[in-house]
Amino acid sequence: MAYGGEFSDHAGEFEKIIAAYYEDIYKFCFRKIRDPAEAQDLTQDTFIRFMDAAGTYVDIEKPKALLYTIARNLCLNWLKRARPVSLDEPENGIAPVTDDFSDESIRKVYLSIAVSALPDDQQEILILRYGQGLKIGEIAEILGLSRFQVMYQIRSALDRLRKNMRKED
Amino acid sequence: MKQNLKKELKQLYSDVPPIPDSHKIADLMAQADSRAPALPRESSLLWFIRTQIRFVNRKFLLVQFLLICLYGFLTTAVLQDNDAFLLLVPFAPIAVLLGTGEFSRSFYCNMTELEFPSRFSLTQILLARLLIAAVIDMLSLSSMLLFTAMKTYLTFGSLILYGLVPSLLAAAGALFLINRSRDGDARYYVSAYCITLSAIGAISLTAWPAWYNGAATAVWLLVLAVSAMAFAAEVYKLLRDCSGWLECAKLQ
Amino acid sequence: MELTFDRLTKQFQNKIAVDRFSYTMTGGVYGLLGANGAGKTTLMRMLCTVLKPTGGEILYNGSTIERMGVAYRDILGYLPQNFGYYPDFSARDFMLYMASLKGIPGHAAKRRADELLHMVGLSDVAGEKVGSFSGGMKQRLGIAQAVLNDPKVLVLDEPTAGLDPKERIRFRNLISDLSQDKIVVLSTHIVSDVEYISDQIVMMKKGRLILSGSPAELTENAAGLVWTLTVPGSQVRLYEADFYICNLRHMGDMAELRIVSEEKPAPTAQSVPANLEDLFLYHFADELERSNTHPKGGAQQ
Repeated sequence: MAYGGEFSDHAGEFEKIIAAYYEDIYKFCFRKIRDPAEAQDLTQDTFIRFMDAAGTYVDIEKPKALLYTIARNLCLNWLKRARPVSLDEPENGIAPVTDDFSDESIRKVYLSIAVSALPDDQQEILILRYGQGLKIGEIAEILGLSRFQVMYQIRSALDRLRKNMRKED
Repeated sequence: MKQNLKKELKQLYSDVPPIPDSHKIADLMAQADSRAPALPRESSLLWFIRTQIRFVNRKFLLVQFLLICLYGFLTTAVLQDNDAFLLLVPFAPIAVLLGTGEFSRSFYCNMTELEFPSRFSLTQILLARLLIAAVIDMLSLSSMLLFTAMKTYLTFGSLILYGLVPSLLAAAGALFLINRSRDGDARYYVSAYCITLSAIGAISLTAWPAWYNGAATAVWLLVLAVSAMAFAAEVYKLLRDCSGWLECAKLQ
Repeated sequence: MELTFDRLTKQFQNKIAVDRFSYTMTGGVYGLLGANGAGKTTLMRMLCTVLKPTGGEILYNGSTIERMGVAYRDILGYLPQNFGYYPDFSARDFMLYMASLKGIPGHAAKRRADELLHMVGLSDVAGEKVGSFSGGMKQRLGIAQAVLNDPKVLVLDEPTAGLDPKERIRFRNLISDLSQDKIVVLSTHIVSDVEYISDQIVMMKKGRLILSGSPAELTENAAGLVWTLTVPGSQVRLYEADFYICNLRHMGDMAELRIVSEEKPAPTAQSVPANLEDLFLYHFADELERSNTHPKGGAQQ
């Protein structure tokens, strides 16, 4: 029937977006701040702000940029207020708690140490690229960089990681 | 080696604890239910004018086009060389008649009441339409001029004069009539006026050839100036009347 | 969200169409009830900035709508009583045209137009010329364009006039659906159109506000005004002369009269609960008599 029910399916749009991206945003926030409960709070906050800020149909159709931008800013603010003391220590969660000393898990530990030794912005790009699976163009839009800059940063980060891993070997 | 590293990074990042509280998601969904995204809005007059081009009546464009074709046909195929300019004077008011018809659609189609309370005021709507109608009429006129210029020995300057004066007379008179009766009847008055003008123009070519001597140019220029000013005055009156929220159209 | 009418007045040359109308509206459906010529259309035109008041003002959330200008028109949706159309326009063209007037850009406009055409049940004829539409279809198109910009104030002037009963019900349901989070002002002289969907009824007579309240309140206040009386058919004329009969039913030799009267019309009369129709007839009796039209449910001779 043409009417006699939901007037607008715009409300449905928001629900679709939440359903599609909630987990991704949560994972992103967690990878940035390393605390599950806080990460979820930031995720909630992200979506609420998104609903306030979504002004055009472009935002609804391609919500990733706006969502990640909001999430990113919220995480940065949170980190400023509650930053762990040392920048070099591997943060809880990256290093798998295991007694397994197989090559694989040792490599994993080294990798996580090497990653946390990278500058913050490169870490972020790696999260977006290999954690969230975003495309170069999407990352560029979120961070306000050019595609070239993004690719350069990724390459440079990977090179440094490779060098550090080789050192550990 | 490189690929390995990328894979390892992906694996590293995949270690994420599950979402602690699923109730919160439900809350969020409930909130989403009560919200809807705001509609985007444009507010520039230029954007508005561009969008109005799409809504120009196709028939209007078609008839203008046919008019030009007819004119072209007559000047190139039918008339003698020097007589080509004869058509300009009668045809110009007809082109303007079509233009004003398109422009005043709001009034005689009874749409003003619907159009009035919009983001773009009636003044802006009329301005946009006036601009578009004027541009189309200008193009018509120019085509006719070109056709004529190909065939006659009169200077381009005098051709422009012979084209512009009837056009402006028609436009000024039409607007005058529209301003005095902003409803469906205006159409008939304007048609009568323009057709009369056209007829006078046609007759004058044979009955008063003195009008087209070089000596009469001064008179033509005077008429041009007067009708241009009258046109501008009527445009100003129309736009001013329709601004704000005065009752500028006869509402039933 | 609050709309306030402050001693709103409109005077034409020799006639006062709206006379010091004062009222406040918050969210919900407001049924503006009155006979033809009561000033409803004039009031609505002033509300929609089509006419300028000669006295008083209208305030939205505290600011005069004149001062708000475009900001007010942005949250306004209007369906006039008689509206025209451009003959070459299809329903979709019409919607897109109105969308352009409201400043909604291309892509969003198309989506919104399609969505609303679907909502009012005109999707299959979206490509047809408006000139070929029936009255009911045109009204539906009218309401679709009125809500294009998701208005906070929706003004509908006699939206059901000329519609057949089925269309009228359809329209009523549509309006009910649309009334969330809005002020809907709906004018009509057909009581049943507003009785069930209005939160508040506002009655106008000769440009003045004469009565307002929720349908329940109004009928409560009218308790003791309506009576039924069964009399022989031959006596009907006697009662017609003295009382206002709002319904008459012949049953063989007898006739059952429904009378609106402050005093009991006859010893055998029985008091019955009033409904909105009774109230309407009571207040507008003189105007209706004058225009010689009996509304729905009127006397059958």
